[in-house]
Amino acid sequence: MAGREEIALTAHLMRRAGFGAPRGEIEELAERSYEDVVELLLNPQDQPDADMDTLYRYHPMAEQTLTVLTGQVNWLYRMVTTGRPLQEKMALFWHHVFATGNSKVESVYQMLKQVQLFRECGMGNYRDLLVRLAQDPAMLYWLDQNENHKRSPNENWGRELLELFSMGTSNYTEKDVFECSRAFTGWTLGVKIYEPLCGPCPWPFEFHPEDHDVGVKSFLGHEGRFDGEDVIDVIVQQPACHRFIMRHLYNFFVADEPQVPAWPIEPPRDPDAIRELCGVFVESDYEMTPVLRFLFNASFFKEAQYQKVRNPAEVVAGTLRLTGDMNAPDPRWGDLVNQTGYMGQSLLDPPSVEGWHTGKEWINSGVLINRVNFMADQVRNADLPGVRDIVERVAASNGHGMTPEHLVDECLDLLGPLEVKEGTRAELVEQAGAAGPIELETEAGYNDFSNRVEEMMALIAGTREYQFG
Amino acid sequence: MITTAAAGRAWHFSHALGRPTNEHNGKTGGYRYPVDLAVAPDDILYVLSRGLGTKTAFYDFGRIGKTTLDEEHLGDFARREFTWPAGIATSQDDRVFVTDEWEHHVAIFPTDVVYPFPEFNPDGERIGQWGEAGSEPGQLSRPSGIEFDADDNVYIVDSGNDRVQKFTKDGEYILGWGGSGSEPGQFDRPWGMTIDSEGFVYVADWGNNRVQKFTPGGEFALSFEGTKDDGGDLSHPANVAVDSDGDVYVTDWGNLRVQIYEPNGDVITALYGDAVKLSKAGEYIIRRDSSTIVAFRQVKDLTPMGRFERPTGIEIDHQDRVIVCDTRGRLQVYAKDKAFVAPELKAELL
Amino acid sequence: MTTREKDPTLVVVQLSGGNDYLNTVIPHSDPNYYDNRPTIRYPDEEILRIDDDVAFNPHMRALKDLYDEGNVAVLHGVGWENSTRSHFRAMDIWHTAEPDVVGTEGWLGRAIRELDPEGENPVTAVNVGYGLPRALVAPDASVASVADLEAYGMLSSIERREHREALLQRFANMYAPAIGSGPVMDYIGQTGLDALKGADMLKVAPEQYSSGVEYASGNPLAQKLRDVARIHFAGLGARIFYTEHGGFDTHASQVGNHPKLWNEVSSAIGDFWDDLREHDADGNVMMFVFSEFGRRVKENGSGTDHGAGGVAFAIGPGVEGGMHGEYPETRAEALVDGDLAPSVDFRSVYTTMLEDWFGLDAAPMVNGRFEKPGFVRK
Repeated sequence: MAGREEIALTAHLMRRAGFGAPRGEIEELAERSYEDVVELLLNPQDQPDADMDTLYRYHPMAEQTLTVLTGQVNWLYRMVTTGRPLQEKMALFWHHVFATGNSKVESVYQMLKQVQLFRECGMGNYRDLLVRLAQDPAMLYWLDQNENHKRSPNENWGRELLELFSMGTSNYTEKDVFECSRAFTGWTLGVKIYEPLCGPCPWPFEFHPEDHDVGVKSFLGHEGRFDGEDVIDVIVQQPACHRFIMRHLYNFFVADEPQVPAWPIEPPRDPDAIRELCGVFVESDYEMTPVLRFLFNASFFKEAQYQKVRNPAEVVAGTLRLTGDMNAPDPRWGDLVNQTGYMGQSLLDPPSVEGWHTGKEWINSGVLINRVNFMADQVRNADLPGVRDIVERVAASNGHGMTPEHLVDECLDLLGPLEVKEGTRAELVEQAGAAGPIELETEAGYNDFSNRVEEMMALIAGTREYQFG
Repeated sequence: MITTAAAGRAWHFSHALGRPTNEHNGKTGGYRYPVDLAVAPDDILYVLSRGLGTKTAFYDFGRIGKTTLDEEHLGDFARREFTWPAGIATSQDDRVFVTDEWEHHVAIFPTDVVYPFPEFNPDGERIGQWGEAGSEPGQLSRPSGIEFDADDNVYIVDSGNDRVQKFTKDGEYILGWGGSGSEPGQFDRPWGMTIDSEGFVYVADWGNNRVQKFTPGGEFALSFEGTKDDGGDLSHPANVAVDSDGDVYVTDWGNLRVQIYEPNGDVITALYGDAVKLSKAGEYIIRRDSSTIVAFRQVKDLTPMGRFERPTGIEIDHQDRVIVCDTRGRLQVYAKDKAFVAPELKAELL
Repeated sequence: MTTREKDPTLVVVQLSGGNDYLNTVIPHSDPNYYDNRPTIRYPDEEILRIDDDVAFNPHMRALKDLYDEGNVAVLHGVGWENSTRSHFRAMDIWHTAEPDVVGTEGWLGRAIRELDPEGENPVTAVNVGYGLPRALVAPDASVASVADLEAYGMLSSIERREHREALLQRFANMYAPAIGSGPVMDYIGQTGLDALKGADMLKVAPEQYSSGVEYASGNPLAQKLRDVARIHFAGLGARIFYTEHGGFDTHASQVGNHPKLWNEVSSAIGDFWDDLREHDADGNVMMFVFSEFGRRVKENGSGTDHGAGGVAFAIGPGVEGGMHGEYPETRAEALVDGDLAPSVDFRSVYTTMLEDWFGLDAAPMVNGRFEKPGFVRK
């Protein structure tokens, strides 16, 4: 049986590199070496994929998507049921960085294809991912690449590629933006087949050589008859690009950084970590998997437990994985997928190309109630297998009579293990004992105990500490 | 016209019906994730739309569309009756029976009333219902495929229990067979079914990637599965139909095609969907907006639009026309040519 | 905290889906109306005539009564140049006042920050519905989002009242500032306390409320506006209310659906104002009703498709009742891709409300200076 520290570390890894796991699964994983578990995560092809066929049989709307809601069912179902959690987490990471919104794209089907690109290539080579991204139909439309012509360049994609997708502001000139945009002229979208005719058909990426500016471009100190791929090759060599992407990775997987627009001014939380990550990134020729391997095995990662406010996708998918609810097609999916949106993260539809503001900005008075209530209602529902399991585990841990302290500590352990401030714990303990002594011997006593465990988990779900992951 | 020819037979693509919509404009309409259909006399079709399969979505529950084969969409009904409607069949007295995989029952409707979009009867539209959830003989779990035999008894694929059960049309249990597994006579989450003119029962064994044929009493007779080599392999077949010559058509859901077999199980050919010509509903929607039609004319390749996307329900009418539910939100119809001579062969003969 | 019953208050009603301008304020003497709408139109004898040119839809009886009393400003042709036909994008633009780039901050969110700069009142703005419309989002703008006023607040699914209150007290204790817990923990704690306080404040609204007005029970907008009224009467200092009514995307069966929608909207608004007057609480309230766009001039046989310029309404004793702006021309040559060309920029409408109603400087909230149509009484 793994010790408490191994359990805590494994749970931390699974929360960050995935969407959490119930205690039984954590215990099994913690029997292996930590490095082995990292390797499992890094090799998704060896793990079972989510059973999408079953979802599509019972909810064809989740495949032939016509509304945002149906696309969100598709993705959230994957987050909750996949056996390849890191692959899904990386897809979410790239969705944060390469934020594309259905409000303009207006094809959830095409949005899901972009997410599929992140799923397939998100743990591969960053340079190749950028090339694929530059040809992704949803992205082409989102950033007006179809309006970027030889005679009238549109800079939307060229600018965001540099500012938001690779290097960050103040590392290039306006001239570089213009030259970059020129290099991508002719990378465009073919005529779409009108969705209301026959449902979604894939949008075609097309290269129009006659609309491509073949002239010499001068870009970031390099000169040549560059096309889009050449420009990307130049970008990925830039130290600014390495720092920018590694800082994103740190912000997403390790600990909350300030919001992205502040990065040119505010130094990283852990400059050494960024430097080390950059080293691995360059060394591996921009492969993501070696970088992730380094990151998850680094002490700065292991020491960063609960240093991040969980994003709404993590809250919803993580809670469902914990309670064992919604792991199959279900009419409740229609309601459920709205939850991340109610908490401020409408998947497939970020507010702008800058993506979501993260960290403490996930929490505001308009959404906090929803966030706490969703988690509390789940963890105090004893009909759910994960909740029953926790109640039984708390009961089984009772060696010499159950004290309120013991009940609280067990609940905190099973929901995390989560460390809370002394003041928080004192409140929890007081509540656990508020209804008198606990006894488990009689049926009535056990029911009362079970209610107290559920109530305790609902309270913990509302603590400040539990908003972190 | 697009033709698929093999083994002295040919299938000509005839036309498509509908588009992915809940709306009905008085003449044309559509389907929202059609899962099954039933053919009634006078070229009337009842098409079962799945809807979203969620309890909250606005206007997007399942429903039944009533249309003629040449796409006069007569209207829709049962807009608020289902959670997971799965299979539809008509009885000899012209009522439609629908299985609901979430509610574990069979609901019965009259066929003479339609409600203009988006209306429904708030007092309920069903005139009957039977079936209860469970795994005892006569109980149901996720009932899906449904078909009447010549005696007006009804067979139901009891998918959650991996079996087939036979009932009177009032829901009295007659017999059943099956069990979970991959041996002949066992099933893995079966889906659709059909009954041929001799009363043999064919079941799409979704999880086992095959179609099994049984005697009316449930004796295993034959399995249609094919191989990668003969191209007759199936991936999650959804449904099955048999024409008057005994040729067997399987909606090969996972491979996005309709696989056609000889009665003995040899593979003949496959249909992939050829609806590059618009349905009347498609014509209607595209003509509503001049910019849309201009854009449509510029599409270089319409082939992707024509392809099946997850074909589900399939039926064959008295003229051996093959009607396929295409999850895209339409039906595709093929006509069978039984004495087809290929043009090049014709030239040779002349 | 002071109660501010007399402070100007705005109630925004969003009609989602794209409301058909031509069949809301009907240009009944315009032959183009009849030419373009062979089936989706109203005969002369049914319409609620306003003058020789325009009439209200027959199903806007209550709104017509308010109009006749001088309490409705009809804002013609509201939109923006190069309008989009995408619902979501159009709604984003209305919410962020950013037609050209994708914006993130809401125009009302910015107003909230000005109305309550210290963030003292967690119910300065209340969304009646789920989630948070982008219009209300801005850093440091505190908003309560209330889907169900009776069951609003943390742990609302816990049925036993004393039990729930005991647990909420625990939350309050746990959220209290603690030494050395760090800025993010402190922020979350403060947000939690705000949420608890907001819910606590709002709790009194249904308790105190009684009214002779019976809002229609099957009408979701009426129920939402009833919640707005209840919160308003409670005198909690709520200055901005936001709510929504959907279903206006009438591509098909418009003849059946559009009247039903306006019946709901008009009667809900009528009930709301009756209620406000009964409580003598209407003087400081203005209502703003808008939709993301109007619909195509030419019908499609069964409905109408997405369009551009639309009509908005400002309602209340503080508005200059009557017609404001020009009905956009309906001649084929004057249309833009078959749509009415907007005659007034929506940001100028916002500017009037922000400056002449709230007394705020609108430019930073609507991203620029716009002329001010004078529909708010001086």
